[in-house]
Amino acid sequence: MVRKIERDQNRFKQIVRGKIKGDLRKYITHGEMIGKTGGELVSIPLPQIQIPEFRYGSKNSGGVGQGPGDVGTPIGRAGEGDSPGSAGDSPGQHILEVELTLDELAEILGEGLELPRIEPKGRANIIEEKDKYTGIRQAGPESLRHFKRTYKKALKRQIASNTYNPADPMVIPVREDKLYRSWNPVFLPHSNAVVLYLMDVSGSMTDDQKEIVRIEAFWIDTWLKSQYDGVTTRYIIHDAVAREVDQHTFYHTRESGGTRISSAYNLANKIIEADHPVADWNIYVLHFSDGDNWGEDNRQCVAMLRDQLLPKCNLFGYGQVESPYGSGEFYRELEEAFEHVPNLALSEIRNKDGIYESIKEFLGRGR
Amino acid sequence: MNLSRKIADAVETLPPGGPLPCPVEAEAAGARLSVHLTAQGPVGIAFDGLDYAAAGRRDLSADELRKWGDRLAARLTYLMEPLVVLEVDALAGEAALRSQAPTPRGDLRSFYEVRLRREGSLHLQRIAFDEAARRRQAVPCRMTIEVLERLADDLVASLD
Repeated sequence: MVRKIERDQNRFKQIVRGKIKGDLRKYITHGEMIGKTGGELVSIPLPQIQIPEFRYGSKNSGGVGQGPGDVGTPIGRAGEGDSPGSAGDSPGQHILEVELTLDELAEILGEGLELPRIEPKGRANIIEEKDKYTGIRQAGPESLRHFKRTYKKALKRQIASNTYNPADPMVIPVREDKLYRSWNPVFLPHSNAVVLYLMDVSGSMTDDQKEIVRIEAFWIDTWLKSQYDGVTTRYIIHDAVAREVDQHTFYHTRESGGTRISSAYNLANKIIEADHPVADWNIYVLHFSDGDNWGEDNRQCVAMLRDQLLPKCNLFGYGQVESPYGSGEFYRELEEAFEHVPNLALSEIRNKDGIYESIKEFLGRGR
Repeated sequence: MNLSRKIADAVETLPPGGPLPCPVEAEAAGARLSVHLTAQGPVGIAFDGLDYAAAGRRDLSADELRKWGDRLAARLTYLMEPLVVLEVDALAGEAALRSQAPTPRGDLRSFYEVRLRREGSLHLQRIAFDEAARRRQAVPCRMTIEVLERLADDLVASLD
C-alpha cells in the first residue's frame, strides 16, 4: 500500500518533471546546471514552484491605515525619501533547487525531444561476468549463513534421529546443519558504447563556441549513458594536428594553429582500430568546428569519412558552430558529398538557442 | 619610383570607361603588387583581391610568419577594422589574419582576411557572411588611391 507521503512525493516529482519538460529548451540552452553535476545527481533551479508554507490569517492583526499622518496626506513623493538604505541582513528569497539523477534527466530529455530509444548495433556485444548469490555450500563465513535452510536441515536431522519434541519445538543446529550462501559466475550480455568527441581548437574558435560544444556534449552524454550499460568517452582536440586529451583540456584549450580536420579524423580512426573493435562496440563520433578548414583538406576529410569512419560508426555527427566570422564551408562540403547517409548527422549551431535543435538532429535518428 | 607610386600610377592611368574587372600590377625592387580591379572612380577604387609577393626571400619559419602578421596588424590601422593574427599553420607555412570583429551591415557581416605564405607573399580580400544564405562570399574592398598607396608602403615595410 502506498503511504500518503509517498503519494505526495510522487506528485511533487511529477510537477517538477512537468516544469522541467515545459522549460526544457531553457535548461538545455543554459549551461550553468552542468557545473552543478555531482556524481549521478544534477541540481536544477526551479524558481516557479512555491513551497507550501503556513500563512497567518488577518484575525486580530489590525486593519489598514495605521501609520502616522492625517487622512488625505500624500505619501511617497519623489525626492523626499531618506538616504539610500544599506544592505539588508535578512535572507533573500531562494530559488528552489531540485536534484535529479542523470537517468531522470535523460528520460525528460527523451520525452521532451521525442527521441527514439537507441537500438544497440548487432547482438549484445560484450559478455560481462558477474557474481550472483545463487548457490548453497556447507562452508562459508557466518555472515553468509542461510538461516532458513540451516534450521530446516537441523529440523530434518532432529526428526530423523527422533530427538525432535513437538511439545517443546526446539531446533538447535549443529555444525553439519549449517548451510551458507555461495556465488556463481553469471554471464550477462553487455552493450558498450564509445563516444569520441572531436573539437577544433584553432585560433578561430572562441570561448563562446566552446561553451556551446560543452553544453551540447553534456546532453548527448547524458542521453547515451542512459541508453547503454557502459559508455566510454574519449576526447580529441585539433588545429593542424590532433591529439587525445582529458575532458578538462578538451574544454579549456585554445591553440593558434591552422585548421586541418583530417588530422582529427585520422586519430579517431586509429583509436577506434586500436581500442574499440567495431564488432564489440557501438561507436559514436561527434565533431565540432567552425568549418574553417584550410587548403585541400576538405577533400581528404570526405574521403576519410566515406572509407574509414562512417562504415565503423553507429553515428557520425558534425556540428558546425557559428563564429563571429559566420560559418565556414566545411558543412556545405559534407552536405554535398553525403546525401541521405543514415549514420551521418549534420547540424549548424548558430548560437546557444540552436543547441536544442542540434541535439534533436544528432539523437533523433535512434542510432 | 617606389611600389606605392607605381601602383597608384597604374590605377590612375587606366583609360576612363575601360573594361572592368581587370588586373592592375606594379613591380619595384623585387616586390610585386597586383589588384583585381572591379570599379574605379575619381575618389577611389574597388578590388576583389590584392596579392603581394617579395621575390628572392628565404622561407619564413612559423615564428617569423607570426611576427610578420603582428607587424602587419600593427601597421594596417586605417582599414575598416583592426586586424589580428588568428592562426599560424607551421606545417603548411601559412598564417591567417582577420578583422578583430566583423562589421555588421544588414544581413551581412564583413571582415578582412589576409593569408601570409612562408615565401613572403600574401593575399588580402574582404569576405562577407550572408546570414540569410548562410554562406560566405568575397566582396570588393573599397579604398581611395591614397590608402592603396599607403597600404603598398606598409606591405613593403612589414617584410623589411
